[in-house]
This record gives sequence, C-alpha cells and structure tokens, in this order.
Amino acid sequence: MFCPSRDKESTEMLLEYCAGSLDAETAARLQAHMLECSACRELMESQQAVWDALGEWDAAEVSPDFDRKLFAGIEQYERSPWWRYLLHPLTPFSLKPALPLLAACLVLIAALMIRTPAVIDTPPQMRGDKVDIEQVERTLDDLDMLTQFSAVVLPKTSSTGSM
Amino acid sequence: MEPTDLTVETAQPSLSQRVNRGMATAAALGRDAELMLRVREGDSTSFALLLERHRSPVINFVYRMVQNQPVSEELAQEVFLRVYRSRATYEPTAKFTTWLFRIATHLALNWMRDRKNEKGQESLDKELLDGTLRQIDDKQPNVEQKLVREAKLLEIRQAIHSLPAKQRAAVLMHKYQEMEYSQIANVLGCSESAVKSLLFRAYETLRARLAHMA
Repeated sequence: MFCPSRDKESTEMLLEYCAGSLDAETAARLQAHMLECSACRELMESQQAVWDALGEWDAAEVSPDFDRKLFAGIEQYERSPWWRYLLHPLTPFSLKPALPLLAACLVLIAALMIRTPAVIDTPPQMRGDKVDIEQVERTLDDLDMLTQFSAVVLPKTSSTGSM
Repeated sequence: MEPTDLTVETAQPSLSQRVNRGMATAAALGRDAELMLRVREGDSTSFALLLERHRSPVINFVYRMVQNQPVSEELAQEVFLRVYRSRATYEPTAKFTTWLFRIATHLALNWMRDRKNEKGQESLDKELLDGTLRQIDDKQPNVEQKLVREAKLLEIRQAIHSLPAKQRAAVLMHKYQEMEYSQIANVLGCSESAVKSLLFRAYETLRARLAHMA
C-alpha cells in the first residue's frame, strides 16, 4: 500500500521526501498520491514544518581557543607517564571504573570467608560403635567381677538382697 | 474535499546533482581515511586537516545532544583526543566519520546519563533557556521579533531534549549530518531497521510538538 499516513514503510519515504533525499521518480509518485490523499498531505506538511523548524536551530559558534586547548591536551598526553592512562576515566582501558568493582569483590570474598562455618569434626560413627562395644564388654566384665566378689566377701547380704 | 494544488516546495535534486554529490562524498571519505593513515605514520599536519574538516560538525552534534556549550566543547576535544590516541591502531575498516561520530555519541550519551542522575528537571529547563538566550541573534530588528524567535528556538530545543537519548542521536545525525540509515546504524551499533524505527518514533514526537510551527 502506498500511503504514508497508513503504511510505516511509506512514512519513511515521506521523511526522505522532506529531507530532499528521495529519488525523483518516487517523489513524483508521492506528490501524485498526496494530491488525492488529504491525510498524507497533512502528514507531509507537519513533517515539513518539523524539518524546517529543526533547520532554524543554528550551529553553535566554536570558541576561538578550541584548537589551542585541544593541542594542549595532546601535549599533556604525550608527556604523561604510561601508567596514568590507566587511571583516566575516559581511557579505553581505564582501571578507574574497575576499582570499585574490585573492592566490592574483595568485600564479598571476605564476607563469605567469615560466614562459612568451621568444619566440625564429627565423631567417626564406625569407630564409635566399635569403642562402645568394647566399653560395654569391659563394663559387663567389671560387673561380673564385682558380683563374684560380693558373693565371696558378703555371703549373707547377697542371700537376703535387702537392707 | 477538493485537493489543493500542491506546489512542490521541496526541490528534489536532479540525478546529475546527486551523482556529483555522491562522488564528492566518496572523495571526501577516501580523503579522510588517507589523512588518518598519515596521522598513524606521525603526520601532525594531516591531523590538523582532519580537525579542520570535522571540528564544527562534531561540536554541533555534541552541542545539540547535550545542549550545553562549554560541555560540548570539552566533549568534542575529548573526541579528537581519542582519535589522536588511537592513531597507532587505526585501520580504515569503516568510514572515518562513522568512527568519529561513534566516539562522539558514546561520550555524549555517557554525559547525559551521568547528568540525568545528578540534576533535576528544573535545572535542566533553566539551562535550556539560558542556552537559547545566548544563541539569539542580537541583530533582530525589534524586540518582538527577538522574543518570537527566542520562544521558537526554546520550543525546538525542548522538543529535541524530550526525545530519548538514542532517538535524539538518530535525528541529529539524520537531519544535521545528513547520514544515511546504514551509517547511523553503524554509529549506534544497531540494525538499519532499528534506526528507521528510532527515527519514525522520534519524528512522530516532534510532529506532535512542532507541527504548529508550519
């Protein structure tokens, strides 16, 4: 569809028309269309108004010492030691923006190290079972021995079993 | 409704004019690359020539982006300083102006982003007004015309200022640098269709704000 007010592709054509960069054949086709389409005609007029208005925004005057300041900056750059470039915020390989990031990483690492709990030595379960069994056996042996001892030493007491 | 008789006010260049313009552009582009290669070899005169050719366009582009005269010159100086610092590794893989305006756009966008975080809208509006007043030509014949022009210029600057950063950059390159979509896309690091979309939305906004100036 060749209608800038309805078709986005044709609107681009209108932009180019107002910018004066449309080829003559397409420009003629657009002009013929605008004779019949009031919406496109209005769109062209408003776009042309924008284009003309933007054209009234004059160029800025360059200050007379622009070049002098620039060449002074170049001279300073030539005289600076190589490592200073790394700290200049506008240098491509500047370290300056990376410094806060590096500090944040160090803080994070330190925080992780502090928060990580100490490794608790859990008693080895297998060894514990073995020790317990041995202990129990020894205890039983000790009880047997005590029982036999008491039977020998205190025969009367053991028969009554009460005080 | 009777169609009005459309008078073509926008003069379309003839084919020969466009060819001549294209050849001049191609020659200029080749010249820029040639000069920059000489700068790479240490030729300071070539750097001065490049500066002479591109000083005003860069300053004007940055000025219209940031709308602050002193800042625009500082940023423009940084653009050329970066060009100088990068001279040893320069390769003419893209147009010189693409590279130049990529640096300029990058610096301007960074400044605008940092500025936005620092200052409120009120102080930005004040700067727009101050900048407009500085720019008004004192040769206006009478006070009324001066005031009218002042108001118009302020409105134009505010309209541009209201655009998102990338739309603003695209419009400024399209209107004032007369760049084609492909080159704008290379500068902004996006596709051509993305550029068309940026321009479509930008001009839609500008029409809403400035169409009454017809």
